[in-house]
Amino acid sequence: MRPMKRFLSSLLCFIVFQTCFCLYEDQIGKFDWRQQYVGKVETTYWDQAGKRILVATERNVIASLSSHNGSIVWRQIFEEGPRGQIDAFLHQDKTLLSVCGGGHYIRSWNSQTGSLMWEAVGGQTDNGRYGWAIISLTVSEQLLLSTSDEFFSFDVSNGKQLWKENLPNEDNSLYEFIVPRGDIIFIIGISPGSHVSILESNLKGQLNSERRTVPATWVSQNTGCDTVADNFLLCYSSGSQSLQLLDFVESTTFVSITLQDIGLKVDSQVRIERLPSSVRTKNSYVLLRFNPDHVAVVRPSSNGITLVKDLPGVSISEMNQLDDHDVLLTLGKISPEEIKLTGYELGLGGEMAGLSQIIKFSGNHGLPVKMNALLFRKKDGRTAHRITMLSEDYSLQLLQKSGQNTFSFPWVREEALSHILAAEMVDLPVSENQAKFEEEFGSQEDDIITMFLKRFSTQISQLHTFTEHFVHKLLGNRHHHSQLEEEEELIRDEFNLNKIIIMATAAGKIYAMQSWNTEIVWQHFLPDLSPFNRYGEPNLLLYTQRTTAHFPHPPQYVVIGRNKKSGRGMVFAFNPITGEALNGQPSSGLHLNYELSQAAILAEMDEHFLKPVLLIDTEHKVYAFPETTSKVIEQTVTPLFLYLTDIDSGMMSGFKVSSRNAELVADKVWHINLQRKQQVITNVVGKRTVEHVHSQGRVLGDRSVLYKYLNPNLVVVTAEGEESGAALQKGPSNFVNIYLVDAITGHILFHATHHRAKGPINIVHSENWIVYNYFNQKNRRHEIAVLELYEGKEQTNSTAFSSFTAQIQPLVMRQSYIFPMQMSAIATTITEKGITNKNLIIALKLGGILSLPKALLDPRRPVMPTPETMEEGTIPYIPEIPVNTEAILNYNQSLYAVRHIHTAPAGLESTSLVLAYGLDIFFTRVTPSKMFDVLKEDFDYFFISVVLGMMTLVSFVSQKCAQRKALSRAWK
Amino acid sequence: MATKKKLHKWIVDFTGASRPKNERQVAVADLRAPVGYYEGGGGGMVEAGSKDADQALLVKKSWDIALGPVKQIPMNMFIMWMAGNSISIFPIMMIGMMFFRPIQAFISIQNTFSMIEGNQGPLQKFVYLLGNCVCMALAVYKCQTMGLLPTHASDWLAFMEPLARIEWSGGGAMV
Repeated sequence: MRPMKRFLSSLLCFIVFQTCFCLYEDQIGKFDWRQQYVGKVETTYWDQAGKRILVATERNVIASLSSHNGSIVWRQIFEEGPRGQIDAFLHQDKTLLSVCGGGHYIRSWNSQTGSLMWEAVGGQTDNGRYGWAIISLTVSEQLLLSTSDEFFSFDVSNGKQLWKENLPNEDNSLYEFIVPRGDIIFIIGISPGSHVSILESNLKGQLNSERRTVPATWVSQNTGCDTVADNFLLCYSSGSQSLQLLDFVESTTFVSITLQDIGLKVDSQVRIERLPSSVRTKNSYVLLRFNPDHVAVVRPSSNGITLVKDLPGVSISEMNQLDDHDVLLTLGKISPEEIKLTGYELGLGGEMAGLSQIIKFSGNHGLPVKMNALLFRKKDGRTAHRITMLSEDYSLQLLQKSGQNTFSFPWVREEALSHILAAEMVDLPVSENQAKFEEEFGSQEDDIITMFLKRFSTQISQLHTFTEHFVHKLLGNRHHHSQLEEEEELIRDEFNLNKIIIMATAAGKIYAMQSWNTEIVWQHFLPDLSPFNRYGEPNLLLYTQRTTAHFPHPPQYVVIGRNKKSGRGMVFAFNPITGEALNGQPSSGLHLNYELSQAAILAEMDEHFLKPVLLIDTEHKVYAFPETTSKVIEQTVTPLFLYLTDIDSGMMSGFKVSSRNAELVADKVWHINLQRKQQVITNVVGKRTVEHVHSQGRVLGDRSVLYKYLNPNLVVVTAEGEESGAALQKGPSNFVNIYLVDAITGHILFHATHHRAKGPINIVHSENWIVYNYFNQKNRRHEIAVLELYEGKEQTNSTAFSSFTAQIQPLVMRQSYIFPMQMSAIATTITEKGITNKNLIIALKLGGILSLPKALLDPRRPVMPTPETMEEGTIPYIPEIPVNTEAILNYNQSLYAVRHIHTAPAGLESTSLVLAYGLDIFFTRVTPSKMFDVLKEDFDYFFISVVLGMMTLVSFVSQKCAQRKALSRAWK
Repeated sequence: MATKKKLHKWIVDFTGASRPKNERQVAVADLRAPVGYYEGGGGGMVEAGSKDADQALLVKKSWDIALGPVKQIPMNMFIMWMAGNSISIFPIMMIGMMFFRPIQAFISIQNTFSMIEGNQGPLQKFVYLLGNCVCMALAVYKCQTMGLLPTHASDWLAFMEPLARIEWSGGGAMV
């Protein structure tokens, strides 16, 4: 029996995987593409005399970019989260060093190939203080590394730890600076609220036992400080609005200098721009920033601080050296579409003619934020300039001289695309003819005559375009120009497979990309837009208010975020095809005068086919956007409910929206306390509103129907916590709770606890099922669980679903499986009508995107297969979910740090479009039930038509022959 | 064949089949009856001679027609049993035939009934009808055993409309 069973199950598995989607070699890159990014650049260095740019980024990536075209030469990706956070990145001569995870991992890289030279383990990260490690290189090729309480030295050539010293830390000193000065190393720590301490050490790691402390009661954790040259510490005290200068080698007190003293008249806060540690000691100037477009350069000396240059209207400036002269380069925006580059020769005082120019600069990049210039003399004596520039929208650009003394940007890297927070796919508008067609059949009010006239005019115009097309064809392809124009027009294709992808990014920039060739159609930068960030997870909301189907109304999308300065709500409604602001809004977005706590989109449309968006402020007041649509909400017959989850207090509450005195109000109708003391809510997931469920039930082996429990208002809530009490003795023990809550009544339909389980949990909630993953601490493996909800064999109401009359307790079936790999995101395919089978799209941490048939995650999989289950077509239960390499959608194009997968339906029922984004972007299409609605690509039209023609011919001939034969037989 | 053809060295065509159409018709119409031929005669004399024996023959022949469908039933049942319940081309063809025959019989029932004569006519007609109905019922039964009849709720599942949404909700974790 047993081998038989095994054979059967393996056979079934084989059959299932026969249907998997996989590519042929020549299909690579035909339907899919990948874009690689590095993330928001934090530090840049020039390498190989300006041929390469070395960068370290916020997405825990170090990379080398080609300065020729901006492409990635090599890229190394560290872990996500604080463990991979880059604390320091240092490039000096041939050495390239990176420090990650609070001084824990020190790595040395070959800057040409990106291969790892050595890796060393430094300080412990027990105290959870990341990002404080600092490094410095001494003259004798010694790497100095300081964490919050330890001080290390490594040999740069091989990574051997030379010595290690403990730093006195009883006064919560944060050691932020290491300054090598000849044979002495100064370590400067800051104790917020009391003093600054200075330690001295020699190159052998012998700490001078005496620790000097300089009283500084004004210093706090946020105080901006930097070291200048090798003997000054400059801080800005925001309380007294003064600069504090300390000569830490000789002096023992801070010298306070107000801004007025040095001739600066500024009333805003001042920030001291920090320099990379490798250039800090050589530099004797400090850049003060007052505003995003006002900086000043000062120079500290033993006599105090002297103002070198006050630069209003300048966004960034940088000190550089050319022929032993100090050159100050500044960049500032002078008009929305232009920036001005100016070079000052500080020794001589004048502007440098060759370095001062006005350059065209797109307004979609915001203000320049950082620059890194490389000035050198070529062999023929002319100066060459290369400047990398980072802008407010996270874009990295190269500014260089091209041709006759004009500067230009040869390339731009849109690094905001590695910080996508929300994405949607937009249908392209139909062509003019089709639009007329739809107009004709769309309206029902017209009488017969007008309809006839419309029909007539449509056909005339069709004939016209046809003849035009025909004439063009006859004339040959000489009119390349017009053809190009035709291609540029954005028109829906036959199967609606090509879309425009709208992406809202953390930089406050919105992109529209063509899904078929990755070209950016438009980009729009909103300088004030920032993501919501209440719980440390940045988030932007993107809703479809009107699709492209309502010609002649333009489609409308809306991005909802937070104002960077005020923290209040911000809304931007736009046309996704052109990027224009709609509703008479300014192109910088609409600023609300309240703080948002949630938003929701309605299903009902107003007379212009616009779906209203509900905005809920922190006082639970409800606003409609646009305001004109509030009438729709007042008149709507559908009861409207909202639910909010406060993760800080662990409370879920439900509200009923109604209109009172021409104002929308939300009345609280229920609340659930999820015990914040014991657990933290990690996910609140509802269903996607665009989803269609075609089949209302499931056919069982005996041909009866098991009806699905299709509650559109079902919400999945997960909470994680740590076990207390006896369970703790077996080692660390966590638990995961999962709740299914009806958002209308607040009723908990189902609750399950996974003991000894841990997140992070990814959830897919679709139709009548929920799939989620967790880490099983007991067996130390990843598991994936599925819940399916059924009403039973009878349906309570076969026409409508109301949470008030629906059955209280649906039938919940569940099963869990071992998943052999760690995953970072899950999504499910979605199709136009929901007829096609569903596949789960799983982003693996290893870099693959797995397409897994939902049939493998089916709680009805029987442990013992019977003829009835075979009839139903369920696969016998096997605990492991196989990861088949043929089901990896992105073959060898690995994707790392995937944050989210977005799926969208195509015009073909069989096809679903998949967009995975995170650090990189990957787009492809999947066909979970194969291409059942189109002929295969390799379908031989010629052969089939020849065979058909031949058969018709043969049947004619044979008919004639038969007739003649019958006639002659009649004569016998 | 060739030798046969050569035997007819000459032919006189009395039927007029080889003549043009208009000529032929005229010729046939012009033919007169032979001498001594009486149009109404002959038949009446035969009728009078063997009336009883014919009546019995007629009833027997009519019963043959009436029992035709009933006689098919055992054969049909045997074929049904042989064909099995799997859905493949031969059982489907067989079922098609099983349906086709009674339906054909129903369509041409007027003709068949006109052939049935004699005093047992109504009974025979009824038996004929019944036999066909039984054949039909057998075909339906076979469909049922093969699972081709949409008698279960699951067969109508694809036509069910999605549930209308009575309440609308939105929200999530606070942003």
